[in-house]
Amino acid sequence: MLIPKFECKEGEAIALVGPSGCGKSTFLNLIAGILNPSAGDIYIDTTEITSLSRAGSSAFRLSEIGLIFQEFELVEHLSVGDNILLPSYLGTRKDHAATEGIAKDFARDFGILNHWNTLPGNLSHGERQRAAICRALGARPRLLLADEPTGNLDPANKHKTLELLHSSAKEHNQGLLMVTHDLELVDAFDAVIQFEDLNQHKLT
Amino acid sequence: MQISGIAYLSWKALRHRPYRSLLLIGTIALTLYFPRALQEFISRSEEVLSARAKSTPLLIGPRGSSIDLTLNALYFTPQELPTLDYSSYQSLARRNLGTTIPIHSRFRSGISPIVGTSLEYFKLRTLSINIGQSMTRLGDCVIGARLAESKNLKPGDTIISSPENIFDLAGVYPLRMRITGILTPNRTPDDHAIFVDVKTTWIIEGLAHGHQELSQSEVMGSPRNSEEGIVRANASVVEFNEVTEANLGDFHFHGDYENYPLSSVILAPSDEKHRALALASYEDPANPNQVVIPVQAVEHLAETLFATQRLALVAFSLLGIAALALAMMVFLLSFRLREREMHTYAKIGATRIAILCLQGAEVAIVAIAATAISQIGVTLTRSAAPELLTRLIS
Repeated sequence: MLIPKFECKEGEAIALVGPSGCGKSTFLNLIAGILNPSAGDIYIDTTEITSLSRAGSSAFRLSEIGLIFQEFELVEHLSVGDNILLPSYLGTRKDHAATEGIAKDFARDFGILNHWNTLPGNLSHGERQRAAICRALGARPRLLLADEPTGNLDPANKHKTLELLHSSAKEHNQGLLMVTHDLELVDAFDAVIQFEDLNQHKLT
Repeated sequence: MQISGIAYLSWKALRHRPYRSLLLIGTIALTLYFPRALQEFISRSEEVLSARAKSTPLLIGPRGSSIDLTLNALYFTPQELPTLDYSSYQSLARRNLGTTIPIHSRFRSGISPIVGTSLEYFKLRTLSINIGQSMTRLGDCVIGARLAESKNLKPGDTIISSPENIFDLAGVYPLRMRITGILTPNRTPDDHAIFVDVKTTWIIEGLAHGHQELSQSEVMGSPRNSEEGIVRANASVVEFNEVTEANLGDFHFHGDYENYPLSSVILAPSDEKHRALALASYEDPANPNQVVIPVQAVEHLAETLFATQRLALVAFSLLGIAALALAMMVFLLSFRLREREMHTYAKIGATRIAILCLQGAEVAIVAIAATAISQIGVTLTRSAAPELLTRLIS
């Protein structure tokens, strides 16, 4: 697939829209360094992530990128709190107490602090997605990559979640790239990349 | 990557499946425990057997298995062995080769052996009376500390010997014995034994008895009925014999004293010369008795034990390998089932090494817990080995 040349500034939110199978998720995986492009470069700030080793790419992703998955990807045997703090457990755990404080603030904002010690299996779809978003935000990443984070939410929670994502991106100068099928949400974004198919994209 | 974070996640994963984790820990713990416990038990048993054998210089008994004779004299094993005549003991004592101690350990009270001996035995084993005093007359006994503790017995209480066959009224008759003292514990078979004078064992054997005085009104258990001065005995029998102050004078032995049985005689020669003389005097194959050096008999027994241990270790090792392979398979299958979870860690930013560490930490936690449990078991087995050995063979 061909990826368009584009730039996402600090605090900028870009929506990725297009039909299923057109490569939106692959696009996010390339930016996250989970997949490697066969040609071209991807820079996040001054770091060329395409030149990083696999371990280097993982470490960069852990510290600089917050990922929100469509299927939540919560670890079933960890409580909501532990899931939110997962990047800290897997990372260097520097300032773990401070990270925990920030994570709890996000959990409070997203209305799931009372489920801090609950296992994900006991939460509703919406609560699980909000826990997954808190996990991505809790590590204070410079770039947020969200793959249809509102796909499983009811309209009220959908707008609230989007609002929180936007406000977090603005407040902490985070770039936000979000895949969505919901065209009514794209007005809230600074730019939209529309995927026609694997080779045609339009930046508006 | 922080070890504490990885260990925490592994611990959480194990805790989430407690039954699987406990089963794995238990299986690995048992796999590690059995071969090590067997080695420790046999090694400790050999030490204990040797120590007791070393404190028993020579043993004289009827010809036959030297190991059976040694175990009977040292551990009061219950198997019925041929006996030697009391005259053999007397003739040995007359030769003044050293200290001679008769042993007659054929009878039991429940599972506790009744050991007929002399006071010299207590000196040989450096046994001391902790509570009460030594036996003073026929029918008295001194019991081991563990027996007293387990049955809550104290001086003044009584203990009854077990009949060999409860349907054989003409056979060995139970004897109620008076406890006069409790020995200080020494973690040997003596802790479980009932020590009596050798003559008391002959009463149990039926070689001596007393007669109840029917005309006396307070003879315990007396099968009597008295009406207007006429005494009529009936056919009922007492449940056990007992030597009392009242009937002590009536107890008498039947038959030739010299033919009375003994299980063995411990001989502690006064010096090397007398030891050599004692050894030489039983070399004649015509002599119905033999002299056994307990240390050699125990060494022979230990060789057999070590040979058996080697076979058992091979079997345990094979079983252990199979159990460990199964445990590893459980881990691998579990990790495969949790592939999505591992994929999540990778997507969030865990390196391949971090994920391997996470999986390794789970295996390590289980292995450490299993090793700790097996080590505790091995330590307990080692400390319980003397007691266990005594219970196994006596």
